[in-house]
Amino acid sequence: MEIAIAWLPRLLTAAVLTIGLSAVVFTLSAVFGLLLSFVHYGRETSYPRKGIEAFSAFFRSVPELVVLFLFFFGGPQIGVDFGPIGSTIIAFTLVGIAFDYQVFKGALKVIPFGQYEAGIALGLPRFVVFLKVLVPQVLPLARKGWITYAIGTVKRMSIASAVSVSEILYVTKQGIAATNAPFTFLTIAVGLYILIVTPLLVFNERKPRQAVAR
Amino acid sequence: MTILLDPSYQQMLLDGLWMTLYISAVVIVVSNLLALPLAIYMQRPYGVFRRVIVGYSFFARAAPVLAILFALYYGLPKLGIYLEPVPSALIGLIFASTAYNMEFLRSGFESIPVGQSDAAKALGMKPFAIYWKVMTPQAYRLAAPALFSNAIQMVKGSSLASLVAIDELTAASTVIISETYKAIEVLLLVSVFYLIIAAAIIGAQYLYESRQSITRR
Repeated sequence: MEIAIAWLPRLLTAAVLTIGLSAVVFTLSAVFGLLLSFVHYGRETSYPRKGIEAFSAFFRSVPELVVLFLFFFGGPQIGVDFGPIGSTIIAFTLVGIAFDYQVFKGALKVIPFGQYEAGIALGLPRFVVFLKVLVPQVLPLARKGWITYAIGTVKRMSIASAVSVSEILYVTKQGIAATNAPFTFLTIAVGLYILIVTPLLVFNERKPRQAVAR
Repeated sequence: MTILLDPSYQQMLLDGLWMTLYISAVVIVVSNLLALPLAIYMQRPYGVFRRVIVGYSFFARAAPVLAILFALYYGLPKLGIYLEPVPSALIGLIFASTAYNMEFLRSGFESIPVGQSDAAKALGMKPFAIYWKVMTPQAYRLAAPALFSNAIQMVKGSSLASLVAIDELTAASTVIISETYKAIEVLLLVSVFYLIIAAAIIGAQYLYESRQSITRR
């Protein structure tokens, strides 16, 4: 137990890094996923959309670890060193965009296309229609799938330990190697993940106050 | 690309591919077989094991898969249990994915109108027959999209086994990269393998859904 207390500051620092990385990845994937879902809105069979679908299919089918290695080992090969943190953010954001795009696309399908047409007929600029009419409806509709994926993102950050990002599981592994007390460390690690994820879980279980726009 | 013409590397990748297919297949089959009885048990309003199953499901879904694999890899020898890497990784991956499959099936069962089991009971069907003939086929139909996409997650999850000393596809690629420094070529080739496996699962899903669709019959 004393061992664990001695390692606690390091584990907490690691937890802060996990939260920070997850927050960056969560935000970037949501923004780009949302933007991509609006590309050629209403013309889902166009070539740009097919390109986006192919991008999404690739990053949803290939393991995160392989994508991570692609940037971590592949970057230096073409003369760009992304480093462990950079590779982690790029890899997980690309995978995140691929998933969030699907979630937002599904939510967007639920909203009648007439709403967009009505906005345009009123002479509103396109971005105003997206921002004021569609986005406020898409976000609540997509919330469940979106937040479920975000919870997964926090857990998937543990994969970054493979490229020596000192997040929770990496420090846990070091702790196990140094003290040979695997269960103590893994219990703390899982406890930390549960602590980070619980607010999201609670938020996700709450009944939506407003599923449809006012 | 010339690096990949080296027969020893080809063999390494092929062996890795077989290991990935083996692990994925075992995890997909076993976790689905275990999930069904658990999901059916959870349909009871009371039961001694309900809390155990709820606790297991929460833990297995809250803990990262890699943490579970580490617990078995570093933890079991501490308890005096010495397992080979492959069975140990299989247990970890099955432990993690059974919980998800159970939750998908459970919500499938819960989406079936109560009138169906009431009607079956009124017809004099036994509980086993009700589950086998009426409830389970419908629960699977409702849960199918989630179960199939979870199967792809399991294939992706098998790559984590490379971090606990298993020579599957991802591990084979890192070995070749460390010898040749041709990361992009090797990893893109490996990605293509994973894409093909995922495409096969999606194909199976279309096949299942077209056979199961009510309108077609």
